[in-house]
Amino acid sequence: MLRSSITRSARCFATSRPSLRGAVKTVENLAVKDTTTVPYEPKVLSREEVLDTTKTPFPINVELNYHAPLRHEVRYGDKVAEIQFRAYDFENLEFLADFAQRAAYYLDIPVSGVIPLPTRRERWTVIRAPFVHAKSKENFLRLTHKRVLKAYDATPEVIDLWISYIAKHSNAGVGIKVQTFQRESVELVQELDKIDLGKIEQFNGSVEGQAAVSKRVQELLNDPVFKRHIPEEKLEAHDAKEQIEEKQK
Amino acid sequence: MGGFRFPVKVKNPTCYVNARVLRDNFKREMAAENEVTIQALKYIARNTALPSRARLEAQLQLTTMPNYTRMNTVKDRCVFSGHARGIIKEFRINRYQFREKALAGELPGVRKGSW
Repeated sequence: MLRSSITRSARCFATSRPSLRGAVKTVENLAVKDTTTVPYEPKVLSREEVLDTTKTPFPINVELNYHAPLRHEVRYGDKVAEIQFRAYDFENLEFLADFAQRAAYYLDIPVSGVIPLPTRRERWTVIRAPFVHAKSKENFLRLTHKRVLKAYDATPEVIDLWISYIAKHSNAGVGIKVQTFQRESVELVQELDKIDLGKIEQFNGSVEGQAAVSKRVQELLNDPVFKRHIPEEKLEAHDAKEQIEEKQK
Repeated sequence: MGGFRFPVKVKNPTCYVNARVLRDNFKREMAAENEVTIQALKYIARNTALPSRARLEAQLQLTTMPNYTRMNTVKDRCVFSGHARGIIKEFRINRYQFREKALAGELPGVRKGSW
């Protein structure tokens, strides 16, 4: 009894608001568009009205900005990138995340929806006056809002293009952090073993300043002040060992 | 080195300057300059594979280095007022400067809190 009355009232509500029904319909259309199996029919969505200013129809891609962003279906679930946006205000942040989602649609990248991460809250309580023992305090806070977008099933080139496009049109005060993932073959470990250690000099600076310190140690040990305390063969052995360590880094 | 108060000439800091800030800045510059040497000497002094005489030599060199080369003599100072107390680490400023800047909206994202 109660249930039927509720449904009836809901129906009444729907019929009395035809504009709302229209809106619901378009959303349904968009949902169908989401799957790539349905042929692309832009005519369905267009208002088909010629604008007075440009004498051209209202562009479909402009009109799409009035609707929720379109998304491609995730087919293989192979995550290739995770892009994180951070900002102190959520308006610019939401806008850029939305923009990134739309850009991904036009680049044929299947992405997840915009996922909110926990907001970081930093709080400070300071004494209101310069005097140390003043009783009155004041509170300040800073919220860091975060949003994540995950991209699937795309090649690294397309992801690079997408990221550079987002970076180019990025919003003021929104930080972007990107993690990209790539799959390697099972034989990677064997191939890494084949690499000549002498050739990976460029990776030695991975720990900051480590290379500089080991260089200085060698300099010091070759200094006459230290050299007189160290037997000749031991110094050579130490040098050789250090060189090996440096190469392994 | 005429007319310069420190044993080595260093660049002036770009923040608020007073005598104590200059002194601290000098220590920072010196600590940064000698960091690699100190680390190398510590490595030699603690390396049990090396002969004890060499290790002792390194230890002696470490102790004879001037105090201003050590990082533990460095103290955080407010970049706007030079004050050494009540520093808020994230912004490198004093609590009172922090309040003034925050109320003026000069610290991005910081606003008056109420919870």
